[in-house]
This record gives sequence, C-alpha cells and structure tokens, in this order.
Amino acid sequence: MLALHAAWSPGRGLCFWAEDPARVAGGSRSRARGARPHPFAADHERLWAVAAALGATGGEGQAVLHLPSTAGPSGATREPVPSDAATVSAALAPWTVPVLELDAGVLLRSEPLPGEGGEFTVLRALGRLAADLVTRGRVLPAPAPDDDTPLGWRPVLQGPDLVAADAFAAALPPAVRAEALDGRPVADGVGPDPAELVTEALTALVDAEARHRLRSEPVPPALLRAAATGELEPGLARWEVVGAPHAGPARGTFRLTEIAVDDLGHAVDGEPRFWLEFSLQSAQDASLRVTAESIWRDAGSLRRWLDDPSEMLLAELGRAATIYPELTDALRVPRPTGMELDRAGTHHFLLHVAAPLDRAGFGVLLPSWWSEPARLGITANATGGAGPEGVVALRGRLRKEELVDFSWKLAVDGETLSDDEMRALVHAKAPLVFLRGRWVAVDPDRLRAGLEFLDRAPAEGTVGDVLTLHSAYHDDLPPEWAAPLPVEDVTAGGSLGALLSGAADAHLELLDDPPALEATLRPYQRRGVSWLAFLSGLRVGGVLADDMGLGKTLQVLALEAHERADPLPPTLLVAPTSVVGNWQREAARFTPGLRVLVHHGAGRTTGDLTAVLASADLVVTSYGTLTRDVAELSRHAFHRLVLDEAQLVKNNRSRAARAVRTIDAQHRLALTGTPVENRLAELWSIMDAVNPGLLGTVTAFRDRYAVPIERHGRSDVAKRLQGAVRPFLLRRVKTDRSVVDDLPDKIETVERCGLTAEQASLYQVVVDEMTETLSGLETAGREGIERRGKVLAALTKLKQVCDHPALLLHDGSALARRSGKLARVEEIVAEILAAGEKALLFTQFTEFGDALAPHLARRFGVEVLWLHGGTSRRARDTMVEAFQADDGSGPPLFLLSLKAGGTGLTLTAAQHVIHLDRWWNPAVEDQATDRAFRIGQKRTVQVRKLVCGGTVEERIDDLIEGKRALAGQVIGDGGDDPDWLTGLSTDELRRMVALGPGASTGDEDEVDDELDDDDAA
Amino acid sequence: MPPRRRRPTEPFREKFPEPGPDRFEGYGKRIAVEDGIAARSRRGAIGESWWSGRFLAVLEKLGVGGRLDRGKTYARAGQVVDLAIDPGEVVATVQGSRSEPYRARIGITTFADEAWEAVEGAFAADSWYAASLLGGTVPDDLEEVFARVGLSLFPTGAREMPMDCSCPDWSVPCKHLAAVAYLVAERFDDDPFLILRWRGRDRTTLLAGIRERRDDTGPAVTPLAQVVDRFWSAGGPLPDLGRPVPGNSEELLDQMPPLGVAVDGTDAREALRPFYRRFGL
Repeated sequence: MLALHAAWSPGRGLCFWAEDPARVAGGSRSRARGARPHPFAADHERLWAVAAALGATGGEGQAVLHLPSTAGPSGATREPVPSDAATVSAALAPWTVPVLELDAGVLLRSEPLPGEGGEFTVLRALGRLAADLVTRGRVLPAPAPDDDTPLGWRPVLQGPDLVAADAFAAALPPAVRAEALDGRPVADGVGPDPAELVTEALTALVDAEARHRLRSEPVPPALLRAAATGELEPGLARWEVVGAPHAGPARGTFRLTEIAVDDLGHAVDGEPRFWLEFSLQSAQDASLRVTAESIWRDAGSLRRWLDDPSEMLLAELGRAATIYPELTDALRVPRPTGMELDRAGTHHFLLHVAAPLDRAGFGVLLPSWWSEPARLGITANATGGAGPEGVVALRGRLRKEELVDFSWKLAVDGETLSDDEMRALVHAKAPLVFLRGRWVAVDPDRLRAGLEFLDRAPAEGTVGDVLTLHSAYHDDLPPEWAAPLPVEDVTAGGSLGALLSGAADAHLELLDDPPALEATLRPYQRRGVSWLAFLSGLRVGGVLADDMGLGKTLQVLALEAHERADPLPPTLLVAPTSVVGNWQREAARFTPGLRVLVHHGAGRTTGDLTAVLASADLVVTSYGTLTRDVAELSRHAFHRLVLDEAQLVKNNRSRAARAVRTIDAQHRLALTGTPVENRLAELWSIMDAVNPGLLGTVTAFRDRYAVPIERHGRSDVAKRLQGAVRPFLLRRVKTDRSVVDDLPDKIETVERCGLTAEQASLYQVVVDEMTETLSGLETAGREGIERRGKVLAALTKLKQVCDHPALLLHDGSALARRSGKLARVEEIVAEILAAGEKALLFTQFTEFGDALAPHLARRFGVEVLWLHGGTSRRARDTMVEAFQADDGSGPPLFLLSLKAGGTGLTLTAAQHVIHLDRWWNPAVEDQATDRAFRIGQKRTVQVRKLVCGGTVEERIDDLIEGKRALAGQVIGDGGDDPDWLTGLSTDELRRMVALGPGASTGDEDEVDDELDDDDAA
Repeated sequence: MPPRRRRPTEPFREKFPEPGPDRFEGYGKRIAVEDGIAARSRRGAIGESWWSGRFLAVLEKLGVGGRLDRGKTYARAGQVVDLAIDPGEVVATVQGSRSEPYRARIGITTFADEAWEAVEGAFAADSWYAASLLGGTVPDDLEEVFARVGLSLFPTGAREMPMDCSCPDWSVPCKHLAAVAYLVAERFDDDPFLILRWRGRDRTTLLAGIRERRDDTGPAVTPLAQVVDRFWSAGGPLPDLGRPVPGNSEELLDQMPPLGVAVDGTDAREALRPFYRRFGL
C-alpha cells in the first residue's frame, strides 16, 4: 500500500503524490530545478490508479519538495526519510517527485483512502469549512478563473471564520507547504506562508464546492454575458470592501497554561513552567480570540477584523505593562507572543496580577484548576489518652478532664496535608504546589504563620479542649490554642470522633434498654439515649431536637432510668405549664420507679426545699414557677437540668432565661421539636443555656454568624456554624432513612393538658351542680330517662369546660389565655406550621370550632378551613380540594366537626391529626383519624388526643385505653351512646368526674406568657 | 535674567520697559475666547507625566516665573484659539488683550531620516518601546535609544527650542508662549507620539517603518527546517467546526450594494439571489 501525500502548490493547487513504503523506486528519473529524483516516490501510473478511486481528474507534473532526509557523512543528504519513520535527526533536502495536479473538489466529495497522510486530514477538514461557508452563503462572486463558467466564487472570512482559517494556518502540516518556491534559495527551507496557502486552498475549495452545488442551476444568459464582458467587475470590486462589519475593538488577553512538554516533546520534570500567552479578543464577540503568534504570522487577513492587529496588540501589552511591569522583559523582542513563568512568577501572576488586569479591562484566562488562592487552615487530631485503647473507646465514661495528645497539620482548601505534602509545600521555592492533581497557591505569610504555630501548638490537652477547639470561635480560644489560621477540622478516634463528626448517634456503642423502663425503645430512640448518656458522661450539654412525635420524652426518661441505678441528686425538668402534667403521667407510665415531684401550682412546697428534693428523682416545674422560685431552686445541686420546649425561651433577657442559667446542674439538656439549627437566635439561646459560653456572647454571635448568614447569605459561614454545634445537637426527622424504617404508619399519643384556674373553678361548679341534681332525683325517686339526660348534659358540660370556658358560658368572649388545652393546641400547631406540615383538628363541639377557626387563623396568620354540619356540599368539596392541593400550597389547618367530617373524606395531605376532645367511643375517633391515614398517605401520621389531666376526660381515656377494670364495658356495641357511663351509680360517677390532683392548675396568671417577657425596661 | 532678544520680524513695535505688575494692567484685560483650548488641569502644576515635565523644565530654566504663572492662567482660561504640533514646530494662535490674536511658535530641531531609521530599527528589534508608546507611556529608557545615535529626545536648552510670539512683550517666553507650552505638555501627556512627531516623525510613518524593519529581523513563518520532527501531521488542534448552523444563506448578499448592472430588468445582484438560495438548501 502506498503512503499518500498532498502538498499545496502556490499557483498549481493540490498536488498529489505518494511514496512506496517498500522503497521500490518508481518515480520519474528526471530532475526538476536540479533536485534529485525521490528514490521511492510512486510514478504517475500508480498515482492514477489511486486517483481513480478518488474519482479525481487532473494533470501530471513534477514538484520539488523539501522533505526530511538523512544527513550524509559530510552533511550531504543521502535519501528521504520515509514518512512513517522518526524524523528527529533529519535535515531538509529537496527532492523531485511525480505529482498529479488534482481538482480541489476531490477533497470535498471523496471518502478517505487507506494510507492517506496527515496532510489529507487537515485539507479535508479545510474542505468542510469551505462547504460550511458555501452553505451559509459566506461567499461572493469572483472573477472566473476560466472561460467555461464565467462566474467563480471566493470565501468571505469574518469573525469566527477568520479565526478558524487562522487555526488551519497554524495547524497546517509542514508537508503541505513543502514545495520549494521559485526564487528562494533551497537551503532557506522556509516554504510558502501557511496563511497564504490556507487562503488560497480555501478559495479553491469554496469555488469548487459552490460550482458543484450550482451545477444544475440555470444561469441567466444576460448575467453570463455581463460577467464575460467584465461589466460586473466595477460592482464586484465594490463588494470587495463593503459588508465586512468589524468585530470592533479588541482587548489584550492573557492566557496562562502549564507547559506540560518542553520544546522537544519531552515531559517536563523538575521545576514546573508556565506559559502566559498574549492574544487579542474581540470586545463584541468573546469567542473571537487571536493569539499574538497568529497576529505576527498574519498575512493581512486579520486586518479585515482590526485595522492594525499588531499595533493594537502592542498597545494593549504596553498598557498592561503599567500594571504588570514584569511584562516589559517579554516585550523586548521583535514579535512578543507570550512569556514563560517559573513557579514564583506564576504564583505572583495568579495572586497579584490576574485580578488587577481583569479590573483594568484585560482578558485573563486562567487554567481550570485555578479558582482562587487556596484556603490555608489547620487541623487537629486528638489521640491517645487513658485506657489501653485510648480515650475514645471508653463507653459512655469519657470525662471532659481526660488528657489526650494533639497532632496538628496544615490543610489546604479543607484537605489535611500529609507529611510529604507539607514538606513539599515548605521546600517549594514559591508557595505554588501541585497537590491532589491540581496546582494550588498559598499565601506565603500565612503559610509561615501556620508553620510557626505547628511548632508551638500544644501537644496535649483535655477532651474538653478538643470540644472547645472544635466548636468555639477562634477569637474566644485561650492564646495557646488560638491558631493564626482557621481551624478547619478537629478529629478524634472512636466515640469522641463520632461525636465531633456529628455521626455520634450512628456510631456510639448502644446502651441496652434500662430494666427500669417500662417500654421498648425503637432503634433510633436507643441511639438517642446512648448519645444523651455519652454527653452526660462527658458533662457536656446537649440539644435533642428530634421531630415531634419521635419520643423525646421517652428518651429523656430512659436516660434517667439508665443513670439512676446509682443514687444521684434529682433532675430538674422545666416545661411549659401545659405539659407539666403530661411529664408527670408519662413518667408514671414509662418509669414508675422514678420518684416524681411536681413543683408547680398553688399547692407546691414553699420555703426550704431540701427535704422534698431529697426524696425525688425527677422534679417537674414550669418556667413560670422556676422564675418565681429561682432563689430557692438555685440553692440546690441538681444532677441534670432539662429544658422542655426550649425554643420558647428564646429571649435570653427574659426572667425565665436568666433563671435557667442560675440553676446548678452537672448536666444540661434542652429539648425542642423545631428545626432550631435554622433559627439562629433560638440556636444561640438554647446552646448557651446548655453549654454556657460555647458560642460566645450573643453580640459576638450576631457579628460572626447571624449577620453573615442571614443578611449576606454566606453558606460557608452557615456550614461552619453547623460544624460547631454538630457535636451537641441531635435532630432526627421523620423522613430520615435511619428513622423512617423504625416508624409505624401511625403514631398515637395522648397529650395531657392542664386547666386554668378559670376552667378548674367552672369545672367544680358543674360537678357540684350535677351531684346535687342527681341526689335530688335519687331522693325524689325519679331515675331512668331523666337521670340519664342530666348525666349526659353534665358530662357534656364538663368536656366543654375542658376545651374552653367560653363554651360553657356561651358568651362569645375572647379565647386567648383561658384554656390549658388551647395553649397546648397552639404549641402543637406552631410546631406543625414550622415544619411546613398540615393538620386535621377534630372537635365534637360546633360552637368551639366556630370560635377556634378564626382564633387560630389570627394567631398564626394562616387560612383555617372549618367544616361542620352546616357546611354546604359544594363548600365542602372546595375545602377538600384546597387542602389536598398537589403542590402543598393549600391551607395548612383543617378544623372539622367529628360528626360532619368524620367519614367519607380523603384528607391525606395532613400528617397530623389532633383530637381536641375525646368521644366516648374510640371507633368514632379512629374513623376520623382515618381521613388522613388512607391510601395515598405516604408518611407517618401523628395522632394526638388531647386530654385534660385530673378530669373526667383523663378517666374516660384511661378506660378507653383499657387500663382499668371497666374496660370491657367500653368495647360495647360501638354506638355513640355511653350507656356504660350513664348507668354508673352516683358515687361511681362522682369519682369519675371529680377534679383530681393532676388537674395541675397553673398559678393564677400563668399560661406560659412569662417565657417571652422582656423586663429589661 | 535671560538674554532678551528683539524680534527682527517686527522692528517697529513700540518698546516698553519690562512691565511690572501694576503697569501690566495697562495692557487691558484679556479678551475672552469662546471654545478656546483650555488646560485640563485646574490648579497646581500642568503636565502630569515625567516626559512633559522634561519639556517644561526647559522653559522653567529660563527663569521667567511670573510669565509662566500668567501663561498657566491663560492656558486654563482657554485663551489659546488653536494649536498644532507639527514636525519641527508648534504653531498656535493666542487671544490676548488686543482684538487681533497673537501668533506663537515653538520650534525644535528635527532629527535626520538616517537617525529615525536607526530608531525604527531599534524599535523593531525591541517591541517594548512601541508597546509602551502605543499604551500611552514614554518608556523610561526611550532616551537611551536616541542617545545611542547621538541624539537627545528632549531639548537640552532653549537654544534648541526657538520661540517667538507676535505680542509686544520682549520676554521670551511671554505669557502667550508659556500658555502654549503648557497646553503642549498636556498633549504630550495624552499622546507621547506627539513628542516624536515634533521631532520629525509622525506616528503612522514611524509605525510603518517599524513594521518594515521588523520583517527584516527574520521570517514570521516558522521555517520548515524547524518543524522536521512533525513534518507530516497537524501542528495544532484543528478548529471545531461543529455542525453547520442552518441560517439565512442570503444574509451576506443582502448586505451588498447593487452591482449597478441590469440583468433582465433588475440589478444583477438579484440575478445572483437564486444561487444563494441554492447554497442554503
């Protein structure tokens, strides 16, 4: 097979020739212009055989080509080097080869043949550019080269086409321009100008392609005549100069690249070098960029774009030199094309030149690996310490005071450097180093400061130091720990490491369920308790911020049960008034072994509490009571302080917040169900309550975190804050992978609320009335239907009081702050809305709904749907549709009367169901609950049943939950009529409805409005 | 006190003694000029660059402080009506207190063509000079280029820079010449090529000369002999042509003016239109 070659001869066009790799002499023996015949060039006959396959026509001829040749003994050349052999040590020598002068069209309309050399690759690509120009009409008629078709065509090169043509000139294989030029000494070996050759070839190709496409297009004879007689020429001459819109002014542009290979193509080893290439870029079309090399090579074609590209280039370089004086040296040559930069020069350019140049209007193109100066930081790793396996393996018994070894490292862009990498950085002549596959530049001053710190940094510290270093702000650290660079990461092994990384709940060794706990923990709850126990062992405060419904109460009780195998001082638990009773009952249910003292309400112990505290494990109080009794409570030492619904204490100047800080406890724990990490003011308050001082003062916190994150949207700062609080915050949401599998489809809880003083007194009035009435009937012997009616009426009244006093009084008075249950509802709704979720609220009292719907709407500023027996069918459908809106945009709260809304509807947009009052028959409630829990519900539904503690509601609840002997009667015929209740004797009834001690009436004025009081004034 | 010369061109001019400030008033107030050439600088020195400073230093050495200050005031007030910097001289018209404006001229010795050719040769071999001048700055070492051919770019003294003005003041420079000099200094600030033009070589000629001589420094085309090692293949990436974008193939034709030849009743350009339509198919 022949090796096929092509040269472009100025004037003659495409010259096709071939060499025989077998070195069979075939070429003509004749010499052209004194050049020896090429010894193994193919003769015309063999060339024609190939050209026929290309479908080409043309003439025969000879060409003198300068080709790589072996150098003979005395410098005389012996023979050409075959094109497939290495030519490194070759010299150029002229050879006469037989050629076929082919029509340029052959490059446009033939398939590549085997054996074609690299010349064909480039020329065929040039043919594609020509065809593209014709397709886009970027051609103009040119004086015809022959008489057969008087209309010829030439390309119009503008903008990107000009740049493309220029790139072809740069890429043109030397072999294409290898023909010896007349009048040039052969030894010169310059060859024709590639830019001129490309223009010539492109013109021939465009002409061939345009003629080919017009081969069947009729030409008006008058046009032919005008062309033939030269009439068109003045007009066409005008076209030469018209219609070439300039791309406008250009700007100097600097492009930095790494020189991967040296001039000989050898990979560069040793010192890296970079090339700063000069170019001009069109101000209007950024894709138009011409390198200085092209500009100097330019034969004039670029002048169609710029008046004088070389002078514009020099002007731009001269202007740039005022910003970048080092440029001067690179300009001290006739044709500056760029400058080579060493490591130090590149570092300087990247850090101190690129930006000023850019600002001064120059283009700066930097390598993709370059983004900005690398961020230099410090990392610390804590290891060793007591125990055979080091500190960190000790289960739940790690102490803050324990000593650990510190090892400090430098980090670049958050990645810790290995010793080798650190050495490379230290020894680099300029702080530009190749790390992890890319170049990074570091500030030398900061590097020096960092290295100095590494020398003096503490080699030993405590576990507490590790935590402080990890989370405290740099300025708050004691001087010996204050690194001159940001501490990027603090790591440790084992459980301490897991804590720091925020993966503690997944990696801590799990505790067994405490034997004293009368419940089985779900797996994620067990992880939560283990985390709490670990923090407790460390004496480090924590925030348990699990989604509502995931069982924070149970986890805290389990922790207490776990720890109270040994005698301990009591734990003080502070909660909103509305849930004080709930804590008491949950503790009685899950940890009956714990001695619970409710220190709340008018009947609480006053004065010295030493005696009562000595006999308690868990002291439950409200924020209001804590505020009032703070002087006494702060005298005693507690094992733990637990702050329930801690997000409510967000005003750190309130009396409640200050009281919390005076309590003496070994361990502090906050519970919250809101996504506290996104509410910075709350986050600071809660963190500061459990780990005082950790996040600095509130003012400092605002400057360091709150303002940058909230006002400036700085995600890096947000990330840093998340990292800082990570060890102390555990939040699982219901949708977490690790939680969702553990969750049932439906979580049902009964929430106990307290009564306000108003409710309690009204309740007592109804009870007294009922007792009196029933006694009267009994005395009069009128029992049966009448008695039954009185009992039902009284029970209804009691339930109404539990909901709200206004229901009994029928006075349409304002709702706020008069009902413990309503207070709890508002808390729950606030959480739901904060989580962006939706809830169904059921009540059996239409009158309550009438008042509650507008109240909630006002309170939360959301639309509240209210569906009851009087709602029209159409209104009902509209409500359901709005609530179920696919995009979740509908109203978040849907209040329904149990009778009207309990059946038939599908309301799966709700993830929460709240039963405001209890029905006698649980089946009715379940039916209502099922509105949300139906096919189409993909999430866990949380069902809450609100019950006032110490009232008939709670006792009925106990019965329904099957905890009492009377349970069998509950599961009766399933009807709505509570025969089993009305059939009770008066005494039994009295016990049933009597106001119990658990009614937990608050202080006279107290529905938790003390939480946000601002008594700074 | 610099030597005072009488102007031979105006032998009958009234002679006044050196006017003091009070008598100076006797000349009357200057006549305001509309659209005069006013100095950019509103206070302090005029001439920001070191090179215009070198030019002004020649004047300042003459020690006619008061006139320079008044010239500065004139320059700022826009009393100079027109001003041209040409090879060998600066010619300007300045409106004084008389109704007829004065003609002021600052001459300079121009350099010989041979000297300029040597300078162009130096510029061609070292692009820094042209780059810096084109970028609007006189390079620090430009004077050395001239020094190498025995020349001084800036005048070394007033002797090289003959000045005259048609005003009655004997002093050289008078305030009119001083005003012109300050405006020239600002022109030099803006376009350093004007210094070279004043010295005999305008920008276009100079740059053309540099181009010509740059070509003598060697070929712009890479000699074949230097690329023997990659003789047969492409020397760089080929442009990515992508897919031809379908567009209006008649766009270029539309931009062309009529050919001015009628073919079948319309301009020949329209006769070409079917061809362009065919190209786009």
